[in-house]
Order: sequence, then structure tokens, then C-alpha cells
Amino acid sequence: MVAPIYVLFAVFLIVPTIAGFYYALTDFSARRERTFVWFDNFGTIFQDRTFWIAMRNTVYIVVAVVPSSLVVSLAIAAVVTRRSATLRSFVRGSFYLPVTLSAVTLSLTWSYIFHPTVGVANYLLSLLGIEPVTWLGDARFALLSIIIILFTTHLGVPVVLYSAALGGVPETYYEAARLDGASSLQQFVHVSVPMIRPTTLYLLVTSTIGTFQVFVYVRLLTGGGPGNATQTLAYYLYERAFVYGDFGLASAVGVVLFAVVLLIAAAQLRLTRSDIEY
Amino acid sequence: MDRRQIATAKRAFAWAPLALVVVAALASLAPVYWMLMNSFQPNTATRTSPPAFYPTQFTLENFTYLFGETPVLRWLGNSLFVSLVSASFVVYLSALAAFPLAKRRLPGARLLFWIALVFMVVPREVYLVPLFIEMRNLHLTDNLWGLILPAVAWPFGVFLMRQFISTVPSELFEAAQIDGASSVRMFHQILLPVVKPAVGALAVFAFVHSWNDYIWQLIMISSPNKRTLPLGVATLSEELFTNYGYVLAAASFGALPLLVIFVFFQRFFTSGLTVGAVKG
Repeated sequence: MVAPIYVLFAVFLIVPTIAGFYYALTDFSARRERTFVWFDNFGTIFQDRTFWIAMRNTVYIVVAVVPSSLVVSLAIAAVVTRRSATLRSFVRGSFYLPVTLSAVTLSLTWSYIFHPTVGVANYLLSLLGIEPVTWLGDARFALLSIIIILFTTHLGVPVVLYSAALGGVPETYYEAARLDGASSLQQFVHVSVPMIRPTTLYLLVTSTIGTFQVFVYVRLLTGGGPGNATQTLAYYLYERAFVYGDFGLASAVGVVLFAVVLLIAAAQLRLTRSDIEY
Repeated sequence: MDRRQIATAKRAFAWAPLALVVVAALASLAPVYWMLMNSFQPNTATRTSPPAFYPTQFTLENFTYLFGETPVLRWLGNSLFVSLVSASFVVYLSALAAFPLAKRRLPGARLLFWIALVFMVVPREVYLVPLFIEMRNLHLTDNLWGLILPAVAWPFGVFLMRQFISTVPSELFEAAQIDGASSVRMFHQILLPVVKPAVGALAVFAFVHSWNDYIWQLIMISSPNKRTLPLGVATLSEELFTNYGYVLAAASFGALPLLVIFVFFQRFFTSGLTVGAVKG
């Protein structure tokens, strides 16, 4: 009974993953035959300035989006946790809608919002007396624009999960804290936050992995530009493989991305686990 | 300030966080509203400054153009085919595998489950290129089955079903066991009816997952008539970018199937996410 799906896993996940590590060690392009070259591809990408820009931008995006979206989501979940079911479901649904809609749809909508002359983003800025900005076409603002979009699409999952986790904290814990004279803020910090730590850990790891792979908005809104202002690892890999046809090099980028994600996830697990004993 | 003013200020302060959250929730819906609203506006109205925040005119011209001049309906059909077929296989095959993993004594069950977990976090960039080469060798590029098969190999399905099936009491199967029923029969006659909520949740997730797999569709599909709806809408927008009425109508049409799913199956998203995370 386990065979059918695990055969599919083998063919479409396990074998390609192993092949990915092998391809990373080969000179393999759309035009040339495959030859084994050891670590040449890694040497090439580590000397490529664009690769490091992509790495830096990806890290910026992760650092800007992941912690802020988790904190804001937790605050939102905490505010609505004891409100009516209708309100809770409205708030959860509002933040979850952008998660469901395809990134393609949202890209087109945001390209309109960020339009330099007719976009509503610049109109709102003008109300504050700020000069219009060429959001996606200006190297100073393009990455920020992508970060803003990603932030808005990264609240849905944590809001849903934090709501569920906060709802699962036994009321008696809060009662005990109140007897000790804890204010509602103290209850939140000393009861809620530790109790929902497993959820935080899960979100931290999955959200970091997901954000590391940001692709659609870059591809549809900026193409990695202007210059390389919004170049990211996933987009860099896509360009190497499917625009320039350099499969070996692209596989090496994939291996590096995998290693970085693995390191970060391991560090997060370790950091958050060290003081979890209750 | 007298006492009454202080009380009023206090009450306002207590309501401030909730008001803020409601405003943020509305802001989160705003882009979708903006897209839908402007898709029913003539192109000229989408370019006025300052923009109108409510519909000033109403036209179906953008959609008439979309249905008359572009193959969006064909693309919709392609996407529906890919997502419905892959979601059905994901649900059935994942549940079929998860049952023995959770409930039957199966040698290597831990290893198998562990494999599913590992591949849930392996970033797909690692195997993107080799998988593409593999599909090319199998002559499945530019073929809708080339989108379906990798979408079925989705370890999250096994994970979610196993977590859910673990919560089903084992006593349910004891009587059938004594009668000598096979695992496959127990699966169809006893298990499937009780795990309907998980089946619903997984079906919705799998559908959305394959629908939104833009990078894979982009790499695999080259013929215009084989495009999926997101892929078609994205290429269309590159040609129509000067006419925001058309672009937003295309975006809205591309969003429609997912909007429908969202409105009708919202509870599945919540339940599926929670089972996946809290027990993991």
C-alpha cells in the first residue's frame, strides 16, 4: 500500500535530488556533453559577483520578512483570541486570502499598485507629502517593494496557526498567573509565549525555507533588476539553467541554497530548543 | 481630566489594538478588492489620478476582450485538469500509504515516514534541473502529465494523512482484523469514511499547491495552448501591460477558481494547517 506513492517519491524526488548533487560536479549545458569537473562549478559561482548579490538580497529578504511577519501575526492572533468566533474567522480569512491566491495574480495587482504614475502606492505617499517613487524600477526601492509584498503574503499561515495555538493554552494557566497578580501583558509574555513555542519553531523554520525560495514576484515584477537589485538565489538559479542553459552551474547553485537553508534551520532548531525545558 | 474622561480614554485604549487589527485585515484584502474593482473599469478609469477608491463606471469590455481574443478558457481547462487529477491522486495514494504507516505493523515504517519529512524541507531548487532533464528524457516536457506526475509526489500528503490517521482509535479496526479482513479492505471500508475531514483538507491543499506551481509550469510548458491559467495570464500581462483594465481582468479571472475554493473551503485550510503544524 505504501508502494505507489513511494515509487513516485523515488522517481520524482529522491533520484533527482541525488542527480542534483552529481550534476553540480559536472560541466553540463544545453549545448555540451556532460563531463565530470569536480568542484569547478562552485569555484565559478563563488567568483561571480552576481551570485553574491543574489545571496545577499535573499538573506536581506529573509531577515526582513520572517521575524517581522511572525511578531505581527502573533500580535494579531493575541488581540483576537478571546473575541467572537465571527471576528476571529474574518481576521484569519483576511490574512489568509493572499496566501491562497496565486502569486501570479498578486504580482499583476501589485505591479498596478506600484505603478509610478497611476499607482495607488504613490498616491498614498503624496497624501503624506512624499514625492512619487519609481518602486520597482529604482534600485533603491525595488528590493523594498518585493519585501513589502512578501510581508503581506506571509501573515496568513502564522495568524491561523498562532490563533489555534493560543486557543489551545489551558485557561487554568492564566488563572494561576492572575492569582499571582500577573497583568495581561505579563500573562502573555510568561504564559502564552512559552506555551506556543513549538508553533513558533515550526513557523520559523518553514517560513525561512519558503522565503529563501522567493521566485515568482522577482520573475514577474523586476526580472532580478534593475541592475541586480532584486536578484535572488532562486532567480539566479533559474536564469543559469533555463535562460543560459548551464545545468551544471545551476545545480551547484541548488546545492549551495540547500546547504544554506539546512544550516539556518539547524541553527534555529538549536537556538530555540536550548531553553525549551519546562 | 476628570474621572469620566479617564474612563473614556481607558476604554478607547483597550479598543485600540482591536481597531488596528481590523484595519490591517481590511488592508490585507485591499489589493484583491483593488484588482476586482478595476477589472470592471474601462482602461481610462484605471489611469486617473487621484485614483477612485470605489467604482465610478462599470464595463464588461475587459472580460469581453479576454474571452474573445485570448485562450483563457482553454488555459482554465488545462489548469483544472492538472490540479483536479493531481489532487485526486495525492489524496488517494497518500492516504493509502499513510494507513499502514500509522496503524499497521510495517517494517521500515519509521524510515519511510522520515523520508517524507525530509523531502518536505528539501528545497526544490536542488532537484529542479535534474527533474527537468528527467522529464525531457521521458518526453514529458510540454505535456500536462509532466505537470501532474511530480505534483502527485508531494510528501506533505503522506505527512498530513499519517498525522491525522494516528488520531483515529485503533479499536475501529479490531473487529475487522478478527474477521480476517485485508488491510486494503479495511482502508476502503473503515478508514476512508472516518478521515473525510483530512481528505477534504488535503484535497484543497493539493489543488492549490499544483495550481500555483508557477516555476515548474514555466519551465515545462512551451506551447501556448498547453499553458496553465497562471502561466497564460502571466504571459498575457507581458503583452498587455499598457492596458491595466485588461491586465487586471486577466488577473481576476486567474484568481477566480482559487477565490471560489477559498470562500467555500476556508475551514479546511485552518484544520489542515493546524494538524500539520501542531502535531509535527
